[in-house]
Amino acid sequence: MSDYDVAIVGGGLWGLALAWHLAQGRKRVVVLEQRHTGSGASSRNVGRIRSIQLTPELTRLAVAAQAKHARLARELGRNTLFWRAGYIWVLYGDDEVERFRALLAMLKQAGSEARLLGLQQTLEVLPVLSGGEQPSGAMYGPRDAIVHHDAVVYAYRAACERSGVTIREHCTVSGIEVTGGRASGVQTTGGVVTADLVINASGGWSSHVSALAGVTSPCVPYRREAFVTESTRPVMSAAVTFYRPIEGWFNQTLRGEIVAGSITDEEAPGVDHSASPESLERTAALLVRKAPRLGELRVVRQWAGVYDMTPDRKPLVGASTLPGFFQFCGCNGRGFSLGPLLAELLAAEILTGRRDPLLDGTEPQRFDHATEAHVAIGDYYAGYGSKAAA
Amino acid sequence: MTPSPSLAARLLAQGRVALARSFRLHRPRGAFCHRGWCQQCKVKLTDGRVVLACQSTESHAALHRWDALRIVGRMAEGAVPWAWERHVFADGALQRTYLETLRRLSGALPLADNVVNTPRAATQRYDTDVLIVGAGVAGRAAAEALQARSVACLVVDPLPASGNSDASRAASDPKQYLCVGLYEQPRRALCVGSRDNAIVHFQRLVVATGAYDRIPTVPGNDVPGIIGLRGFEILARDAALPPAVRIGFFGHRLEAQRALAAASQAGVSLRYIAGPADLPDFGGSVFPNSPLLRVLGRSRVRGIELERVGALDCDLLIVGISQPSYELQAQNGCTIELRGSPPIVRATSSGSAPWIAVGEAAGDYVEDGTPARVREIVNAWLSDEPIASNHAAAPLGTAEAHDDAFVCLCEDVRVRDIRTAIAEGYRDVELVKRHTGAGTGPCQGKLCHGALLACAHSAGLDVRIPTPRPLVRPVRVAALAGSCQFPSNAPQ
Repeated sequence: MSDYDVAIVGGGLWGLALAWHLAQGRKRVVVLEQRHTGSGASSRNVGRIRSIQLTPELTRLAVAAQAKHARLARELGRNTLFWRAGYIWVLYGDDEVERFRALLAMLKQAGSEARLLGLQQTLEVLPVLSGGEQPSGAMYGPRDAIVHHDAVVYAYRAACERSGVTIREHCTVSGIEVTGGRASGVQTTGGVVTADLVINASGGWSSHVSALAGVTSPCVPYRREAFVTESTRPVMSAAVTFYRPIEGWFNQTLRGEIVAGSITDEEAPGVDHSASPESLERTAALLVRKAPRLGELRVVRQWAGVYDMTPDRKPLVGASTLPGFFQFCGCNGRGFSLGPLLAELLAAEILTGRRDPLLDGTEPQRFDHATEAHVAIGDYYAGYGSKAAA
Repeated sequence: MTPSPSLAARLLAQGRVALARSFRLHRPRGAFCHRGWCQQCKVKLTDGRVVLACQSTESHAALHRWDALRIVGRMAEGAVPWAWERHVFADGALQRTYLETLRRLSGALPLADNVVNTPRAATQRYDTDVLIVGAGVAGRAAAEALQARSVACLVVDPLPASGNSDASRAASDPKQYLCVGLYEQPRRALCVGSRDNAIVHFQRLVVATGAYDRIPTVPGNDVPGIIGLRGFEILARDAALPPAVRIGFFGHRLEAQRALAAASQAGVSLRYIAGPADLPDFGGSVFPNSPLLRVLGRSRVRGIELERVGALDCDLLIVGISQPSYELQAQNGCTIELRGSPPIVRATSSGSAPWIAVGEAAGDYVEDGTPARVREIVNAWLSDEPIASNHAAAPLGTAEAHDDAFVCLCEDVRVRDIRTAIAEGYRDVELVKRHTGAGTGPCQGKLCHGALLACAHSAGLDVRIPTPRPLVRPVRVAALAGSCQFPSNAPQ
């Protein structure tokens, strides 16, 4: 008999959430984490939970994921600081506005409450933009939310401990045991752990863990950087994203800090947690250009995290080609919003054998016959193959 | 150059030490370091800008009144954010109100209305073998020693060259930048100046960034009027001390000697000094071997209480517990250890780029001997010889950190909060930091890492510094903006 029913590689949000749901179904679960729980992308993101997506599948998933976040505090018995601050995609140029106007019907049908704002309404939602580069309008999701990433991760961690999940921290996975053509356990720095089912929930390291299991993976990790300022009194609520002149974002946290980041297409793939001065200067320049008042705030620190990208920007959720080895990765920068919902759905599939229709299109084996899986990080719209936006 | 006293110094001369209020508990706070490190003296100027009083030469500030807000702070201690996870609401009006209340309870200062962001000149690029950070006595001596061996070096320091001797100034020629971060792949440093920034590619690093003073972990350790030794030296130099002020001192022997020298230079006297066994004799009372129990006073220092001695009055308490700066070494990937009592963080000599620390950053506090000692260290380093450690500092003999004492002033985290977090299962320094917020405020752990790690150590956790990240000191967004060029916004 195996040590555990399920061994989960990765103690981030995805791994812990899945472990908790499986433990609710009376599975014996172990979570293996190379550093401390949440040490990867789970503690390096800013917890923005948006419903505005560019494709119907992703929008449906995102709307359901947001509802999951909204009920999470009750489920876990801890406040996750789920704050309906709103999400605003600020548009610069009439052509950008037209692209989003074309998406409105799709978004509505998929359940998003997003609406298009003109210049005046945009400035009413975000007075902090006044004096900066004048927007042409904005896509606004008034009920979209921001959560505190650490609060969510620690709520799952505490719930896991109450439910009898074994969490092994500072335990690096060095190999996947395969017996009779089936994954049967995990080799770690703390010895071999046997399990009937091995799940790859290792975020930025997912392609590495796939390789350990001999499974081909389309996932490619990319670095994303951010900085945070000192606190100030509330100046804005809605989380801002923009795509011109380059992709960037900022929002104010509950504690009053401004967090901000920007993305270029010059990033080389790989797990890299080191920050760069170029990103700091670039993001600072964008922030001053969009919201000049924020230029007065002082930056306290900067950091980097990892996006685990797939060619179609959809996650990998379910069985791989190796029996007994499941993929639960490919967060594509939506890991924090989608994680809790996907964990619930995958756990239900493992426990009951029935797959929820919301998971359609996330089958890990969909790339097995693709000739070349190419991930381009910089051109956001192009990644979706959506002509409506590109 | 005649130094002009800072806003904090001016206000101190008028008898005002409480300048700001804390982020979470709305406790009165004042300048501790007077050097721009501790971030406790943030004030709003009459034009709305928010500045550090110790770094501003303005003459007026709009200061807070805090009496009513302290009650808010007392209530907040049970609610934000340490206990937030226990308040569970359904997604709806109650949760919204709760979060909105949390937001508005913040003690942070508001943003100025009329911000003018001066455009920055293009970012400079430099390439050098050795980057020397800090152009004080030690940094300049290191530059001379390197140049004597024909090693190319670049010195950066945020302060204008003071130039003790023309020869040393010519030799080192410091660039006026604050080095805020070290980066890998490729190896470089980001330096922020008043008009532009500089990115310096370097091979090796000399850290000459000095030391700062630590606050003892006793109750009342956040009361305005506690001043670090190095801040006191600046106040003495700028003649900013009120004549009749009663000054007490607590700290190590060498620091006590420096405080006595600074006091006599400024024409004021210390009433007493307290600390370890070997304190210097002077005209006033000396209390060796008397552990500090608490700092007395609510909105300003009224005195201290020593074990076996009892209460002693003072208006200003000078604290001399030196913490060599270690941020750049930590960003460079060094490991750390805890030494002494109260524990001081020491960078050990590993790391990515080859580096040495000199002067106070190396824990060397003998002012007169510094240049010779620096030459010795630099020459040993260049010749690949072992460098003899010169770490002194006898234990102060303070008791175990008190539950009520503050570990982190920026985020109002007490020793009790750290202990509770560890007891709740956050058994990793990084998790404790994230759960309590200790070390995540504007000073980025300069005041608190020693105390945080001491708590972690006594609870049996591994002593590791929480992930060291740029920036070393907060810098305005507009100053970091550099001279970035972007593609146009035209339709793509």
